[in-house]
Amino acid sequence: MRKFLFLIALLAGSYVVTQAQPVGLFLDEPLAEVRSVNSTPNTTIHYTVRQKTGGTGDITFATSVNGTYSDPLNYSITTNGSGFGQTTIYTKGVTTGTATAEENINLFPGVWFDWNLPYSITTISSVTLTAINQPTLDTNPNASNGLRVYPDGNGPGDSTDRRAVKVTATMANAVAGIPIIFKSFDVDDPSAAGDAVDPDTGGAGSGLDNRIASGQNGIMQVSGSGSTNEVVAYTNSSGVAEANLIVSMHPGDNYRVAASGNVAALNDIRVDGTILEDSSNNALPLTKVKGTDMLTVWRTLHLEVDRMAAPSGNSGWNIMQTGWTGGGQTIVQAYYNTFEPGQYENGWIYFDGLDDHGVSTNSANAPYGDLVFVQSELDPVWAYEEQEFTIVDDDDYNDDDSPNDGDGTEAAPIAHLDAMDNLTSTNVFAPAYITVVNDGGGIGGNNNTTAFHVNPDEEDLDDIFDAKYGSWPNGADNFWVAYLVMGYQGEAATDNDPVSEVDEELGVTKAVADDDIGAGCVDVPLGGFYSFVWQETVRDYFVQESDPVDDLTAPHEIGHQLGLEDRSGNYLMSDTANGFSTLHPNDIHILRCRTKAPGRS
Amino acid sequence: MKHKLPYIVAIAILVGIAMLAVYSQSTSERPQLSFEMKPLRQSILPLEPIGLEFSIANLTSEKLKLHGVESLEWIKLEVRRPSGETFVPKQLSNLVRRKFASEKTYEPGQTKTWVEKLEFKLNNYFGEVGEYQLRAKYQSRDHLLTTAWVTLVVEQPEGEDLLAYEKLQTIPAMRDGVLTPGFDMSANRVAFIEQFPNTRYADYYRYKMAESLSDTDFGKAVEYYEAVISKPDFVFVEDAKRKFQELRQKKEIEEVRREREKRRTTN
Repeated sequence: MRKFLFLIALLAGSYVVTQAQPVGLFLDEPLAEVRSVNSTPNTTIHYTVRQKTGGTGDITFATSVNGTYSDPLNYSITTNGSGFGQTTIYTKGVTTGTATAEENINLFPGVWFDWNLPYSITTISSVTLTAINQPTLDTNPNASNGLRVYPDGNGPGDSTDRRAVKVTATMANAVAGIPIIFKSFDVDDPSAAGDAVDPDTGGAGSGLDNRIASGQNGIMQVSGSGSTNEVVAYTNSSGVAEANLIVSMHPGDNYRVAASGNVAALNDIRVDGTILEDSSNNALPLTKVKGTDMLTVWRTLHLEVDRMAAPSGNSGWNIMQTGWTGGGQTIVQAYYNTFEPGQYENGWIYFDGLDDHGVSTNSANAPYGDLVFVQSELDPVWAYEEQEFTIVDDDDYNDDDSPNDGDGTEAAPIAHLDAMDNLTSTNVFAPAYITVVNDGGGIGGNNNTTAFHVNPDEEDLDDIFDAKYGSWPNGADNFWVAYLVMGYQGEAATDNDPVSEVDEELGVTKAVADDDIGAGCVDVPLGGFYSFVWQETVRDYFVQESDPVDDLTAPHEIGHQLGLEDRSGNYLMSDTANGFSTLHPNDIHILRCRTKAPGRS
Repeated sequence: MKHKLPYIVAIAILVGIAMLAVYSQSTSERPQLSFEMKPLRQSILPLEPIGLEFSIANLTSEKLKLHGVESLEWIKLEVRRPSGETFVPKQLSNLVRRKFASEKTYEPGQTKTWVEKLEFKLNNYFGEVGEYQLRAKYQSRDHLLTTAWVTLVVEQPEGEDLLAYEKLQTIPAMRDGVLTPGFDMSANRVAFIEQFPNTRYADYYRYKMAESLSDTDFGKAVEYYEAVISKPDFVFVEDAKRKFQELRQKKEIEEVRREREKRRTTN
């Protein structure tokens, strides 16, 4: 509000008005200006204010904010017993440009005083979003595009709050001091409505579906102040006003910010789907109100990928007691009964100091020693009696051994992680706005080799977690880490040796998970601690099924670490490997409710 | 008589249709597969692992296919608490596994039986003393099988068991079996066993210690296994026996191998 002081020397009739710079008027927004006078007590003085000729814009005047605006405007001030009086005049810019006002006092009728009260009438030309503490705001690759922001920490232990995004409103004219209101909105989720992802509880396209518990519309701040979704900032001499939008840490929460210097026009703005519009269904940008692109929160999951050491002890040892030959094969009777029946199906037997042969299978023969069915006749068979032998199965997770040797010198290959690669279009977690980065869990070169176990149990897996998950301490609300180990095989009963085993286990995760948490984000599952992909079983199984690549077991297990439970149906989290990579709507909802690092409460 | 014939034929047809309908209804309602569940022990202490035996039987005279996984991951439990509240535990194991579900063949009259042990979130699911009712659902791709309700009693622990139970409640990492980095699970288990050696809870931790030490400390692992394999009521007794046997066998073979190696070197 601008103040004018009429200092009236009754006889001299002199006026002093201080007005150096043009005053900014936001298009159609009234500006209150107080006129004060010191004069004869209890006197009414009459004035007229009008726009001078010239300039490029138009202004009008009124004595009340919602009164009738006119040019010229007659008004009066009545002084009190001390000779002081004042009133407020409202000036409104009707068209953009520059204009000047002049005033007349009835003591000197017909005389217009050249006060040169200049105004600059303007509106917003653009509202943009830029990164503050984030590297950049890039294009959101998901539906409805817009921009995306990663509010994550930029490294382990980063304590900088990176949720703020700069919102810049630029005026059509470079005028300082215009109050600009920034108002953020939770626009509707762009996905198909009606399921757990976008329940549209407020009606179709209604928005207010961000997962954050309070402040769904975002928080607007200027200089760190502000706790609601509206804030006022003043234009600088360049005609620029700036505020910060504070976003949530929930992946998928999306926002738009509208800005205007016109209160009524801004109050008329509402959400319609992913856009903002006025009550007459006119989408932004409008003459008086401009808006930002849609901004969507993405989160990063930093993955530490370790691998088991080269297999050791992935073989059986025994001593041949006797054998029988005939029909092109030999049945070897061993001394000890120690092999899992059928485990060495299609394997290879190495006689110490002698030769080696293919194996069709093996069986138990309690109380005697194991039987091994060799695919050739040992000649002479008595020469092999009392000989030690080593036997391996058909494990060959690099698929490069001939004959098989138990993978003795080969560390587990890294699983195909393409399905989580954000650089491709195949990131299975993209619908939940999560990027997975294989970066050692935030520690460069953090790719450890773990102890090898042929058929580890839960205690073995826990031990590997304790010993090798180096980036676990990095996990924080603003820095998600997960742990993936390229393992060899799961438990003996489900490692696909022999192939007649059913229910082959391709991977395992220790986690607290859920497949349906209902509406809201109250019961977000803890998530997990580690995942193992059984590379040899995966290879074995997919070779058996003539499917050359399995790129879904790793993301399935990572899904568990993010708190997703197995489910039935054709989804990534299907309780059986079926080649589908789609996330169920409930799973997307659970992922988008997550703010904690996996395994942290 | 000649005029009555059409009526008799019509009535006969109607009766035939009615009988067919009744027959087909009784056929469709006749279950092809039975699904049963029984607790290994009728009564347990709170936090004590729960053993459940499941069996699926082919009741027909034909081969049947069942496309699913006969394991805990494919079973949903329905639990009625002593308070009467019914709930479905969301997760039954702290290891979640990705498996390929094979199609299983059930020969005519064949019954397949397997045992599962619950040791996850017991404080949440069965933390209240009293009588629980349980039933299980097995949803394969092509069949939904449901067991009858069975009873499981969670008893009030007494004496040393009560002290052990109260102690466990103060150590959530041990009680819940959830990984807690920085928490020395092994040291806590040993301390617990030493403090409450004669409790049913101690047997569970002995078994866990045996599993944990089987690769690194044969003697201690054997000691722990031996302490539990003679207890028929211990829910993991069969697993312990099998693992104990495998461990001893492995050790025996290692010794033979080492001895032969030594002999070879000496010669």
